[in-house]
Amino acid sequence: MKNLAQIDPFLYGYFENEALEHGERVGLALLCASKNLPIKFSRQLLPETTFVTESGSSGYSPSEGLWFSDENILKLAEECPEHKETLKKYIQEINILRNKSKLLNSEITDALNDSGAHWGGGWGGHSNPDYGRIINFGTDNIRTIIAENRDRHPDEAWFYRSCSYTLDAIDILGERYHEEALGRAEECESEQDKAFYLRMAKAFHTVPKKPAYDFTSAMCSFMLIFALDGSDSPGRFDQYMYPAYSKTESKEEIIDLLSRLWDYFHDHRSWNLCISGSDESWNDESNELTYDILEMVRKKGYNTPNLTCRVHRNTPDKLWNAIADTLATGTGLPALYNDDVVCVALEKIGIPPEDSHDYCMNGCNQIDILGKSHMGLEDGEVVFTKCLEFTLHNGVDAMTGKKISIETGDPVTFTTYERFEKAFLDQLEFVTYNSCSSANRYQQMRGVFEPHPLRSCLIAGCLEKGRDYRNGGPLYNHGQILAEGIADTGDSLYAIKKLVYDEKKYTMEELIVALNKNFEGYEKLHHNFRNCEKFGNDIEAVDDITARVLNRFFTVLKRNNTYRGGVFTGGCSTFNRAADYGRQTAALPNGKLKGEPLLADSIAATPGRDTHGPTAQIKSVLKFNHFDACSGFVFQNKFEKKMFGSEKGKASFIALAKAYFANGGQQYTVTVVSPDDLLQAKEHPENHRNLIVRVGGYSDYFVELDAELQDNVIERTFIDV
Amino acid sequence: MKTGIVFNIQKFCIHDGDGIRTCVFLKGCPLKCVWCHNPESLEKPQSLSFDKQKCSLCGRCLKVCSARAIENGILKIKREKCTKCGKCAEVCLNDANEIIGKEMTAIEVLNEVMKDKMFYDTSGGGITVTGGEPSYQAGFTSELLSLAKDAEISLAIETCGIGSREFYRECAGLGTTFLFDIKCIDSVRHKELTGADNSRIMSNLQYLMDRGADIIIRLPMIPDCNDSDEEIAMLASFLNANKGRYRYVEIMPYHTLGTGKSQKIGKTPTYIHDNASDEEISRWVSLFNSHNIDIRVSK
Repeated sequence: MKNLAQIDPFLYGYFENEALEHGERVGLALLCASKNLPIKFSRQLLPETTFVTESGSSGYSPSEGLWFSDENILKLAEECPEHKETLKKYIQEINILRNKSKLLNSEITDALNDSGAHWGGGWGGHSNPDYGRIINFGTDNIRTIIAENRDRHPDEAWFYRSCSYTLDAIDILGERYHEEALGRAEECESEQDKAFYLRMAKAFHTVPKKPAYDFTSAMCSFMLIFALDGSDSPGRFDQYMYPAYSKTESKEEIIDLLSRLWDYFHDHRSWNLCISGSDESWNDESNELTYDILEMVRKKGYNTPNLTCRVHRNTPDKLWNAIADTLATGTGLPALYNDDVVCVALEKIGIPPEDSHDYCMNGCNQIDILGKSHMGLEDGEVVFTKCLEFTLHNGVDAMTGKKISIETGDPVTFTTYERFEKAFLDQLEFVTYNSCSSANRYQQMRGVFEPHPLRSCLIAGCLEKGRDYRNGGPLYNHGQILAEGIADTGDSLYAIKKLVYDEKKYTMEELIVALNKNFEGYEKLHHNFRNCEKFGNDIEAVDDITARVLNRFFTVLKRNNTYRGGVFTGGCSTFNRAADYGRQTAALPNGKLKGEPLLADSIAATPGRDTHGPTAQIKSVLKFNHFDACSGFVFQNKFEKKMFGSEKGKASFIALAKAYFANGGQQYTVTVVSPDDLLQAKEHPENHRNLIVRVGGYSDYFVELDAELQDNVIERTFIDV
Repeated sequence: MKTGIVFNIQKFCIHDGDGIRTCVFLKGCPLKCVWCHNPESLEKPQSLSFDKQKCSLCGRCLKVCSARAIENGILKIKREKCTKCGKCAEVCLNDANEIIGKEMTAIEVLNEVMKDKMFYDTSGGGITVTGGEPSYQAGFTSELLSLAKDAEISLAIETCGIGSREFYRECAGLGTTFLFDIKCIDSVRHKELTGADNSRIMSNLQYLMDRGADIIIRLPMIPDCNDSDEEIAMLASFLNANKGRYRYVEIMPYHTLGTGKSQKIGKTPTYIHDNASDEEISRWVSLFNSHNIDIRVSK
């Protein structure tokens, strides 16, 4: 008969010690789990044990902390009648805890959230733990840090005990991996696998307790923690793995391990790995491992992990060329980040150069300081287009007819454009404040109810301050609120300024009636508003308005502190939610129809509205202040695959990126076009007016070509791929 | 200040000279090549382009234009009556009508070109004046290039070579790179294909080579027009005789882009052929190679 610790070690570990602090009990749950969870290897034979029971009854998730599933616990209760009563009692207590941590939002906040005007704080986020701490120093080193700091914070003794239990849990898992690898080596038929298991068994004799001594032992140490942290974001892998890399003679061993790791990343949809960068004196930090990784990415052709490559004023040509060669394979990797902007932006919010130069990405593209920060991510989003809709309808959500935002006046009564823009900024400010306070309520709840001892051990500041990762422990605790629908809003504001106020072609009343009727019966008006100059074409008048409203958003954000002890900073990157925001927005003065899922792709133009090529679009997005966008400021260009097929094409891309970065651009991603894009472009040209293809001796816009020629290009590209 | 008729200013061109360039397309060309891929550039004044694929037959343009009628479900335009007033383009909700060609001063063009200065700086690029035929608006082209030189960007023109000696002297004096077309080395055949013999063209090319100008020779290769074994042998012997007097030579394989554009401006294309095939291209390349000419293919 199984005991409760074997059936569900998290439940047992947590409830066994009911008199203790919640946080300490979380550590005990992890400790109990480390003794009872099965030891797993992935299909690449890499360590794969995660903090979750086989039955799915409970676990410890990197983003949400300790969790329980009532449904699956009830199933366990049915299977193990002898524990039924105890398990049911636990469910009751879990629900008491849940009720305590429940947020009761105001009706306004809920309504704004439901309308698609903002989104905030709904989940716990990614992180970049300091893997180097474990790999190059070992858990014993972290015990020393605990010993040095524990007595300074007598009231937080429970926190240090929780962290110590977690370190013990890591070491126990390491010992069990040692035993398990030895056992598997014995049973193994393949000589190759046997040798690999033995190498791992030897490594786990030392790590993670002590420092790694070669690339295999470093990889074992890394994988153990990486799997426990949900296979999330490795961060600056080429930096913290380099000491072990340089101690390893066999290149074959390194490449074999990288190959296994990339397959693992792909299976687990791991998030973000960062390579290269500069130190605080702007020396380039790329090394042999940087190039091995780029080669592995080219060879595997996976779209995961999202590879970030940091570039800066001293990035060598050799690395630029390797970047272009990698992009040429068509996976859109790596994404490029510019240290010359990011480090300065981070310094502006008080992060000194010795740390700002240690930034990397977690998740898609959110900026974090490796092993030193909890940057919120993403705390929330503010949807500019919805704020514009509120402005046009004096606080009413035009999709439902309900008044859910503040009244900023009936726009029909506004006699100047400036008055209209002021009303819009008031709406934007209101929604932004609301988004920040909503995010802070979540931060507070998580700080109390979702302690994170694993990350607390691996993020600098927590052990020194005696505070949990989620409760302001890390050195830096800023928040991130993202802006959505920027270009759509800029285009709409400009069209109103031009056609209603400057040229007086239409009255505000006519425009609002047309918007309410989704332009039906107002085709000429729709045509004129849709064909007005758009952001993304290097046209000063419209770019200036767009940049002005975004800069205003950054200013408002900075006035808001995070609960955890930082400031809110802004950024922009579009997620799949963007299509929902489009669908939740009524007709807009940029010509968007009601419910049309068309919103700008991050900081770029609204899809298809940039018709003057990549250089014009770059000029437009450089009007934004990239130095105030600490949460990641995503910009993407689409190119046809063929462009990267020639040396001239690659050189042109490098020149494009260098110009963008030298003039204050923060981030640059490239999509190399797929045949599917071309087929869709043929069917819906209006959404793909920016697709560039090579025709004859020059580049042309795909949608400008005759139908037959489009077919020709589609066929040709299929052959290319 | 001179004005020119410009039909397009295209940014981020990477195959028309060094680095990232902006191509300025001028209207008007003295040659009438049967395969012309920019037919909208042939006539110097403005042209009306009508795209029947975009037309919804709503009839809005009929109300502002007497040169139009719908017959058998198709919009017909009496081209000879069209004054290119542009009213049809104003009322069209589908962007089916477009007036091609805009009168601009050299400064206006340069201002647009200079918007991409930051990209010329990182790539060594600049302006490429093309067309049509830049020498057909020689005064305007020279002025534009001279302004661009003052702005310290790289200069290039793509030319069929038929302009005046004075024009090429001026351009070369500014340090312009010449993308110089040789459409046919045989003068009689040249006249059949383009309407003019090539004596002036070849003489201008010799002149530019003599004075050491930066020259890239471009060979539009048109199946069944100028790609016979003999024709290629003659070209190769010319190129061999002048080795070192041009930077490199590239072939521009025929493509069908011009066919659709012809129809939009109410012209019927005279030369009908599919895009040059991979086989045709590799035949040309190996023929040139067999004559010891290292040749690039413009993609």
